[in-house]
Amino acid sequence: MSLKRIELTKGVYLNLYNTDKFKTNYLSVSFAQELLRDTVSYNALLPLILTRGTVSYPTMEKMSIALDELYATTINTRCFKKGEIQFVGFNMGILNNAYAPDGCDILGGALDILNEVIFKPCTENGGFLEKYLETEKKNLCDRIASQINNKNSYAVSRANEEMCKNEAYGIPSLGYAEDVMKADGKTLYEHYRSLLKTARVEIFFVGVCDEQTVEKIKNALCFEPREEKELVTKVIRKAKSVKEVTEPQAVTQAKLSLGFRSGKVLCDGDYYKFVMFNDIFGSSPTSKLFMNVRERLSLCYYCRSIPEPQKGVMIVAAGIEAKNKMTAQNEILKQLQDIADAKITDDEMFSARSSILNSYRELDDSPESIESWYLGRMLAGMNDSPAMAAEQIKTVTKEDVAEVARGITLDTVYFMEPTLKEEAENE
Amino acid sequence: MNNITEKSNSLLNEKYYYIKHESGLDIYVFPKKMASTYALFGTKYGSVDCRFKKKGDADFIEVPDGIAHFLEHKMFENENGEDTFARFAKTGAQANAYTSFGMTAYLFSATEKVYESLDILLDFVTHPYFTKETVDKEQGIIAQEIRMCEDNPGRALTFGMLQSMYKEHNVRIEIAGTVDSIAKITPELLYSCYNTFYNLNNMALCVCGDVSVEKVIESANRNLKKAEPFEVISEAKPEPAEVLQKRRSYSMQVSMPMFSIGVKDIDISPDPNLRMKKNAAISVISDMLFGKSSAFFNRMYDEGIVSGSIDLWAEHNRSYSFISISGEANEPEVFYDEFTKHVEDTKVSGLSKEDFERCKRVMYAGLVKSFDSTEEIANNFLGYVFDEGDILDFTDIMGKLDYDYTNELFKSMFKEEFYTMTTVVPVEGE
Repeated sequence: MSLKRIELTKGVYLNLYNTDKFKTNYLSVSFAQELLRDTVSYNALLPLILTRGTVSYPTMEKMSIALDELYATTINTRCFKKGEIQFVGFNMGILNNAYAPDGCDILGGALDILNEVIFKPCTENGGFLEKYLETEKKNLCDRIASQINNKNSYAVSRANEEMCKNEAYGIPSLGYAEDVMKADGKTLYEHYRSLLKTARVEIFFVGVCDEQTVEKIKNALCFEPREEKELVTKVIRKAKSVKEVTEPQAVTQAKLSLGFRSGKVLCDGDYYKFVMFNDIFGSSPTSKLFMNVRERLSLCYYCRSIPEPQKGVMIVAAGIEAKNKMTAQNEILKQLQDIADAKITDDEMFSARSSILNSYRELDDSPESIESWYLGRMLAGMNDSPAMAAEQIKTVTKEDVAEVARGITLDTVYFMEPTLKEEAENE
Repeated sequence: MNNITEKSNSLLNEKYYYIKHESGLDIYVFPKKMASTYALFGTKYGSVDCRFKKKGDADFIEVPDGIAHFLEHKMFENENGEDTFARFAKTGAQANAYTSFGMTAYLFSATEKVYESLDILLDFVTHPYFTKETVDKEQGIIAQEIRMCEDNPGRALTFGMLQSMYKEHNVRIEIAGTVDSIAKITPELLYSCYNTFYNLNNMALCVCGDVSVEKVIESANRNLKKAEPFEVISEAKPEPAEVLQKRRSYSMQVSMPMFSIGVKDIDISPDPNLRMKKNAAISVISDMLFGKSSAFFNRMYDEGIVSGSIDLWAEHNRSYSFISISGEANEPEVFYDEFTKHVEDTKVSGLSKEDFERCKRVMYAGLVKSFDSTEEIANNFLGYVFDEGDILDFTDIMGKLDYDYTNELFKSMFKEEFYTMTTVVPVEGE
């Protein structure tokens, strides 16, 4: 199966993935723009304020009830980055009409709501409702602040931020609280109207793509043509020197995040070599990091590598006892060096290949994964399907993997230092 | 021999095959045209089983907290030194395992070589191998897993709530145990737990995907031997109806206070169908009272009393029952007062019939949607099986759920003496 990409009008794309295996249709609309300090925070506010109320559903309660009546149709707000591109928008889970015993047109109703959310938000005096905006500003600030609550992901994003401090990638996708607070109904609405006219629009639909359905989608999501803008991520291939950042926190477990410049990005064309490298290095339970840092040395529960294919960065993240910091760090670097020295077994190559091919085939079972795959490809100017990428994976040699490893450089060491005593010492 | 029975649900357009395997194992094959097949092999043994005995034994054996979870980790080692993950890696399957309060489950997902992977799953779970050396090695790994959990405010909320709700029930014990308790684990204790609970008569296998029933049975035939009868009693002390403690608070590095209100319930029917009915009713009640479309939630949100969303979690099974209402609020006590007032007002007015029908529709849709993933199907399925229920009966039970029963249940469940609130507040000086 593959994706059908239609240019609805200049700069607006409808991506159709035809399949009858799901009981739920997946529909998403994303506005893609450069990640910029000046606009990131306003952009992040938009999905929140747009789902607060529309002309026909002026309150969140009314909208929620309408969605519930449509067999629990869900509309989620989204704000994320891929490389140095910010995506804001919505995705929806819409039950197939076949499962409505009362014959309700669920898709039609869901599209009506989405159309209102995008084109007919509640306004007053040419701006968003101040009352709603105040709540959403506070909510967004709370969300920005609450990222500290999840220590695992916080330690990963802090490493990324520190490593890319002077690059667009270092901008958090949810924006900055101080900028969020500056928004008022009028300026934000003007910002939205301009985004609506200029941002690249990517629509995804995963489900049965018959003619009628496609027509319905086209009619509900009618955008004006816009200038095609290149969505580019600047890549730094090599680290100059190693930056060390230590942050004390009231926790019991230390977090070590090693930030690397991976030297390879998706649009290079041979990124599949890096994909093999990453599986062998640190993304599976047979990887070198898992087998050595966790299993052989018992230093941690998790130690994994998390690459970003657009930006060419990779974080190795582990939760450890503070006193083991250098042991863990040295072991991680040693495993990287081993791969660079081509110390890779046939079993490791075979396992990595099998596991990647398996994960590529599994993509077909998840609409979100399908979308994410093709959004990434689109940014890289590619359109290969997982099946096509699988063929390339099969050609990767040990020397290819070693060469990838030799191109990876350590940029930043982020360490979350616990200030709490462990409750019980192990004797 | 191995009789195959078929069960289907036309509303959901789903079916499964049940096989009582001659080894004693209950096998469920759930055909789904998906790329990925998901297999789940579980034992009805979880963190709550800390004191147990075989039928006829005089005394209960007491084992260290967290041993079921520790055992789950150690099952991945084999006598020949080969790591189980490495075995699965050769078939391309992704393997994993988890331990919950009432079950330990081993699983894989695979798009090819499914029956080879199934052979590995059935083989490794039926072949324990523990030594002092491997047990010692695991202490360090699990200690770090426990530390990671200790720094997780969500976990603190959950266990704070369970520990203030329950006086005796083992659901109050941390699933992974503590660094101290796991230090007491020995290979002998692991074998003792394994030999008690990893009995095929106490286990079930669910395979969901584009698979053949016959080939699943063949794999079971190749790998499983007939098990001894399972006659184990896990100790269950009587639990008082009232909560143990009204308030609990932890101070952690979080951005704003978090709260979890628990509503305790000890009225659990021995009849699995009645439990499923009550389970459905509890979900509908929580959604009606506090869900995203409720007037209450929307007022809390507009007035800034809660931030973001309210998370609802309703549990009702053979062993325990509760509802949890959690979220973030600058002043959790203000929310708590609003919560109790809302409940009392609703008792007077009665639940809204319109809301009732809408929330039933939401629950129906949620159930249909849950059949889009082989992983979700297998996990839900086994959860019901271990509670002697059948997920394909759920549409019927849900359809018949009536307003009067639900309204009465609401009034009897929501009482002040059953409430407790746990909070996690930001550390001072931040």
